[in-house]
Amino acid sequence: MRKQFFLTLLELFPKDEKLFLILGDIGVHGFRSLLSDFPERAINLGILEQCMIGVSAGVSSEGFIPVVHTIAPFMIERAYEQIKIDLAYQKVGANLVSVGASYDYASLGCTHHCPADVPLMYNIPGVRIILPGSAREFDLAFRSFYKTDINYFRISEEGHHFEIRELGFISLRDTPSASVATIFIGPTMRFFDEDSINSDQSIWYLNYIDDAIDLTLPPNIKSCKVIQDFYSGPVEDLLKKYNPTIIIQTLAPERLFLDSYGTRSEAYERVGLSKSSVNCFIKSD
Amino acid sequence: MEIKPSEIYDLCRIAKKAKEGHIGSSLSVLNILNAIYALKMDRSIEFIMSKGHASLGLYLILKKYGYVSVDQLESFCETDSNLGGHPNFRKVDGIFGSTGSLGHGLPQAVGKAIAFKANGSQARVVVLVGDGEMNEGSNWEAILLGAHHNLTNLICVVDFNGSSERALSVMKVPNAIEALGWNVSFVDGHDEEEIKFGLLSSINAPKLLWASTIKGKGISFMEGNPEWHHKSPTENELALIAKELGVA
Repeated sequence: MRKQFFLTLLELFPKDEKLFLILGDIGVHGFRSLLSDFPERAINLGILEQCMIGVSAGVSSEGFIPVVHTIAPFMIERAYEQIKIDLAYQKVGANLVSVGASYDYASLGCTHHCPADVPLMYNIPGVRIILPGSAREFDLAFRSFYKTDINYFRISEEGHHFEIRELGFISLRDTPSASVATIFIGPTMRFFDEDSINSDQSIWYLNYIDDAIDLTLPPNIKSCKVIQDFYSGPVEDLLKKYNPTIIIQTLAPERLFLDSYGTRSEAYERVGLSKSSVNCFIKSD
Repeated sequence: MEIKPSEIYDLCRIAKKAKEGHIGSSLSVLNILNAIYALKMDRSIEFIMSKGHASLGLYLILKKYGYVSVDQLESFCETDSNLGGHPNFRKVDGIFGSTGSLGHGLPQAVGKAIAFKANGSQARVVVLVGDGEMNEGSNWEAILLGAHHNLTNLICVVDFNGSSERALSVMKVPNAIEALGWNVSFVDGHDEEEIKFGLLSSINAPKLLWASTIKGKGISFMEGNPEWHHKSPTENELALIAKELGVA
């Protein structure tokens, strides 16, 4: 998915002279051609995340479209107030593109984990949070949204392999008699196992949220099961807003410091996200 | 346009009416702001008021230069006013930046300066920060960037009114910034001609104007008195102010 970020921007950048790339000393190799060919609007700023967001606001205020890239916790948690004020409160557009979603950097420890980014960004009005589950979805979302508003593109190391060609709240299997909807969020679709879903369950998929997205489910749906790889809150809040009587069960990481190391798969498994745990969750009452 | 005693009185009177306003800082920056806006009238200058708590001083100057009406100024901090305790640039003309939290203006000024270079603009960006604000790490990040990218279109004016000294001394800050590659000048922050000269003089590096000021300038019992950092005057104090300023 990250490779797709490079490919998409490398294609768009020469064509759109408003695009302005700001790197936090991350992605320098992937964007080396932009840094050398467009030095006036492709800058590796350095390791100064708070200032980096402020700079992007200043750049944006002069008509450019900033694309800011670094590791998720350093961009969202360290520079949170700058995102809140310099971008959102001031209504200045920017594209924040992170790597290292949730526990992607499992072996690097808690400093590099970021399961709180989505709830944090949801608490800032006017921010669109894009949770692509595949390279295709990233490409589609970036091309669709980059010219507007404040976008947070959350790039995950692992995605799914389903052919999803839309953005939003998508029905993958709508069973009229179903009373339960299982909702996968972005990359958690990789845990989907066809055999785990009863034929009377409907399946939904969500790959972005913003202030305008409508998460209304069909009237036959009485409860839903949400599977996400970030701390719970935003999706449940939106589901309640559009489906006030619905019963919501969530499979999401617990709020804890995951101070073990190991592989990415092991890290997600330790916070309850694996094919077997997802299957178990789906089949549970 | 000279700042009149009656305008200083109005600033205090409006603060009393609103029961709000950082009078001490508003008075320390008045001459700096007056100098900046005098130049801004016929030059391409973007201004960011990073020390947003001195908003009342800013609004007074914006009124002088036609960006704000008398009625708007009189509505300071009322529910539906465009002019709050910290400026919201989406509600008031003549500024960029909705400030209040410190350490946000200079990084955005760096972004503007980089953008000016990228689009070939000859404009300059001027940002006014407080001396206490120079404690903020984000400003030091911006200072490194300003030097690294040789932003000769960037001017940072520091209102050195001594606020920071009780907590963290900034006395060595100008030397440190000069050592990082900025051009540093020391000016009297109440001498508008000196400030203008500092703002206009050509340079080959980003510029820091270290403007020495007096907090509460112009009102004897406010000058240098930290009690007046965030306080509005009583009826009796306003009468004393009127007498001292010679305003009937």
